[in-house]
Amino acid sequence: MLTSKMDLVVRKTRRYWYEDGFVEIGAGILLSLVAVWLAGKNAMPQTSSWFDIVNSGLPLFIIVLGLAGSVWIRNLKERVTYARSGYVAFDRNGRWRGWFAVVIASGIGLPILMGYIFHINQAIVAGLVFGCGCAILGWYFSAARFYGLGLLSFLLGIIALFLPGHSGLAGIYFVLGGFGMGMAISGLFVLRRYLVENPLDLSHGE
Amino acid sequence: MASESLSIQGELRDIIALDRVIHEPARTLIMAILYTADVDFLFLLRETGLSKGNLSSHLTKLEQAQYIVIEKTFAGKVTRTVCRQTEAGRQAFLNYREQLRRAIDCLPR
Repeated sequence: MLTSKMDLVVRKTRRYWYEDGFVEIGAGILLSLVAVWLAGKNAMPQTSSWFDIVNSGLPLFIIVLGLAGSVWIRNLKERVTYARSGYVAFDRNGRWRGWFAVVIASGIGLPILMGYIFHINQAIVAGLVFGCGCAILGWYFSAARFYGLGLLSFLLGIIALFLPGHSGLAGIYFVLGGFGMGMAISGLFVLRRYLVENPLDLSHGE
Repeated sequence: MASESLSIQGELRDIIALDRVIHEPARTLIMAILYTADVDFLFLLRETGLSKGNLSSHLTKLEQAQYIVIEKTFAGKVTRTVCRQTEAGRQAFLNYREQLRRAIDCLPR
């Protein structure tokens, strides 16, 4: 009984960064905004004076969003999570957070890169990268919902193949936007469950 | 017969040699958590299910053995007590895990 309890607690400690849903909500919003950015760029006439700015500004946009999101998530965790269920320091093992960021960055960067260099359908690549990344995270953190998100990503990549104008960027912002919204909604459900299971207990102090 | 007796004595030594500081269910659980990450008092309180006094007592024993350090920090205006496993503590935990594995292997099936 001790070993099974210990196993549960160690797994929970490992995935604690994702326990409240804030990271998923933040990542979901980021992906959705990137999809909007790409869609806006695609809709813009190339002769427009804004086109060059929008076209080359995506990396900076992602970096700014990522940094802002990171600060926002930290503040929310201080106010909401740590006061309810305690604090876990991830600096020592920052790779836990790092891998999630790698999955997001790869899902955005690789399809664009492979589309331009190898002319591979970007939507399928995005669907595969997010799908595999989420499956790995689901296995590592023993979090079933990541498998669900991975499956969603695969399905979106396949559906994008059948959409009109699916080639190139049109399909990728369908996948990014759909996956982003799915992740944000999943994060909201996780947050709701977390708040119900972890009411603020003011008698818990040090 | 003599060699069997010596072998049993060797196996008993493995069981007797278990680190008594870690070989207590609550402290084993605490060390397992701290082996995974640095955490604060509230997290340990919730995950171990111990009372505040009981948890403090176990943390004190681990601190006295220099297996953990307890640091009071500030997060804004809030005090936070963070427990961190020392290098000696990590090694002791790994040794304990190996000793326990050997001891369990000795038990009759």
